[in-house]
Amino acid sequence: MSSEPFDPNAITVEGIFRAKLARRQRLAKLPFEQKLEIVKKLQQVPIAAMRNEKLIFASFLEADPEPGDEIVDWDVVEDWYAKRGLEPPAAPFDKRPDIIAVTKSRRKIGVELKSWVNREQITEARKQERIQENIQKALGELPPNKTEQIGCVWLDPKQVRFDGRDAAAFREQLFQLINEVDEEWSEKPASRQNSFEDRRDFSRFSVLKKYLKGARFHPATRSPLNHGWILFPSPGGHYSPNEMRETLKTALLAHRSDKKYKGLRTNVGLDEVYLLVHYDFKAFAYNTPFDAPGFGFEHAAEFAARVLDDSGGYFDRIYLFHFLSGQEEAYRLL
Amino acid sequence: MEKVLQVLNRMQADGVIAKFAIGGGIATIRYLEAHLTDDIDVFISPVVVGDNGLVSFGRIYKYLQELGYYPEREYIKIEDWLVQFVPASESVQEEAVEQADRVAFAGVYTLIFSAEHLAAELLRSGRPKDHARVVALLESEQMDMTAFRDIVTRHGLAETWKKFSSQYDLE
Repeated sequence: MSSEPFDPNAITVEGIFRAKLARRQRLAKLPFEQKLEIVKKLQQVPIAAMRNEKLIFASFLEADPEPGDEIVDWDVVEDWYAKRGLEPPAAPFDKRPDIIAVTKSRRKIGVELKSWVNREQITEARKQERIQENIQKALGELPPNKTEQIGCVWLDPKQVRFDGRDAAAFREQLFQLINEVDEEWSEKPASRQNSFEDRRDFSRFSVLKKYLKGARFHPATRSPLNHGWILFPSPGGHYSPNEMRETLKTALLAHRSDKKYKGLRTNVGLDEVYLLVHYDFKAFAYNTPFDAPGFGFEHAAEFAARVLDDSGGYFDRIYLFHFLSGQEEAYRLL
Repeated sequence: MEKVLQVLNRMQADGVIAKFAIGGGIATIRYLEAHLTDDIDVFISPVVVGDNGLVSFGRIYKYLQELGYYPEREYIKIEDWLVQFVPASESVQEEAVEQADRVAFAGVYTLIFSAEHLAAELLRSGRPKDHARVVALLESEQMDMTAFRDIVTRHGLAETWKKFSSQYDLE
């Protein structure tokens, strides 16, 4: 850091790049042993998490929720100390907050990133995914759909672990059931032949009974599926966007008063501490949607701001960020 | 790191490898600021080719396994470092090994590519990150440009250098 008095009005882009180059040159002059110690520290950081944090924050800056005192230098916390050869503060503040940044006016900002996700829903959805994967593995490569009446079959699996030893019997019984349904289809009244048929009684199919709650047979009314014709319906049905709003409310209230952020500003030497709550792909993929007709991300931000009621707890500012490619939106909540 | 260097020196003393030098990311860190790198690239010369015409690492792997170091993907884990043995198959690599700098690290001597050979090798390998490092090495003002131009010319990289220097407005 320069000992010359800093004049924020005299800063130039050229000056910033010159300072960056000077910093790189200074770090290059560190003893080789010390540089390799930095490498070892960098290797210990969970890289995937670090890259994700970098992506989120870089994207947030591009969304530019508040042009003004722009950020001119930043890094994820581990890189901040390692790359600059700085001694981190004592644990646990050596790893907090997720991002450290400096603004054009030389204010040092700490940014903590938190995800707006419903973890219970994610756990449930992942469990479901694993069950489906096991059943798909048991089925192996599907033969072409040779049935006359059935377009596709939807399986509704039970929440049980699949025993690999049942794979052959499962496959055999499923195709036996499909053939039966296909053969009986034409015997149904004409009015019912164009609608799907549910089967939930597997008393004659002991292995199917063990793993399936039901199976839905769709008629081959349009072009039948030949590949991937036995599948799992997407989780759908009715949902309440309130569930995700409630998740956001609970998370905001919990984070702002989380004791682990007490003393963060002084221990890390920050001028301000921000909280950045982001809605990302994980939430999009595994959680029920937060939005509804007439209620978009902007409304979610308004809702969140009302929840906070002008009180950020340990945080000076709180932002809500929609981190999905092409849909980036960021709002300052306080 | 010093343990890795001791093992490499012992391999050389025992005749498992004839000549070696460290290149890649670790060599770059000697001249530039530290950055994340997963492994240590150890260039070995001469290249030993087995009966099947492929480069033979059998002796190296066997020797290290006897010391309790086992392969992990394309690397061998020595203490807490992943080490990759790279046959110096290009003439510039071979010369980089031959003329490497002898450097002391925590009391253990080792051989590391000179800045000029390292830049020439990075220029040759040509991945975007390699080229970024060539620029950084040039900016670091640690290179003897006469020696570098000589290496580039002798190893058939003159045209690559011409294009590169014109693209980055270096000369």
